[in-house]
Amino acid sequence: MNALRKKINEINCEEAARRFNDFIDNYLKGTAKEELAHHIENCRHCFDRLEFEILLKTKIASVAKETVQGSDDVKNKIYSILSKMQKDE
Amino acid sequence: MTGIVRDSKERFSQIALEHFHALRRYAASLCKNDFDADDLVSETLLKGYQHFSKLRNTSKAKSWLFSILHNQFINEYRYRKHFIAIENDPGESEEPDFSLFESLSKSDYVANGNPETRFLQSLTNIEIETAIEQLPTDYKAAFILCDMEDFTYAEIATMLSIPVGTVRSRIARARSILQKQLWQQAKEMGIKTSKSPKDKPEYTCTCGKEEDTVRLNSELLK
Repeated sequence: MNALRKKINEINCEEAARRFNDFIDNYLKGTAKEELAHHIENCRHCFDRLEFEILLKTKIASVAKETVQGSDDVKNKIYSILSKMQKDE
Repeated sequence: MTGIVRDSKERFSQIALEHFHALRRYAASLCKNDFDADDLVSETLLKGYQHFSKLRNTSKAKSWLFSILHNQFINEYRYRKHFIAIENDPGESEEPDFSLFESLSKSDYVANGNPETRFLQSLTNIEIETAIEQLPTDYKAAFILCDMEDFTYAEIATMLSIPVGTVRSRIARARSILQKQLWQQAKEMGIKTSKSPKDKPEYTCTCGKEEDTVRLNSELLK
């Protein structure tokens, strides 16, 4: 079984960090992803840093969902815009 | 009003309602005041409605409306005083890959559990919004569309009329600047860098050299 295992290139922490953005945006594929996976399985520091980057992205996304700017009366706003449009037609 | 026009108006109203908050949020991030943001969204919806018949696939309505909004902003707001242009960009040469995690791990910040994670949990929405607000506008646009609105790089590239590679680099740069802003805020809270690079190297890779290499949660890699 082991003989069938593909040899994975070792990458260092600097190279791993360079791939984090692509990884968290789900753009890292194939060998590049396997190499990163292999690295962080063996490097606690990079694992923690990657986890931190993912948590930060999640936190920022949650801020967007919680922060609703502008008036609560969205429907009225949109209808007044569309009514204005209707008058202009 | 004919039935077709009424149907079209109702369909557009539904789409506008669905995406209004996201559009308003994006407009607020580009403009510097609520009045301009409201104005920008209104103009976007008016223009969207005028050209609604040209939208063949309504599943793309969100990215289509965002494109209209961004173009409206570029055409009408870019040269206003409220807009902080790209010339405020701190520059490509300055710390292109700043890491908040690395800075925190070298700091005197102490918390129960994982200090870096605890720091993230302690951040307030206002602190994050303030850091986002300070991003250079072109980077902020790509960053918000990706990290807050979940658009793909290809969709963002179309909306901003830039290559996908530029989208990728702007997002990476925005994240780096944002992390630097958050680190500045951390320092203002009294967190200090306590460990010199000699105490702790930039990267402390165990890479299988230590016997107690932790078993890492493989969920992260799935």
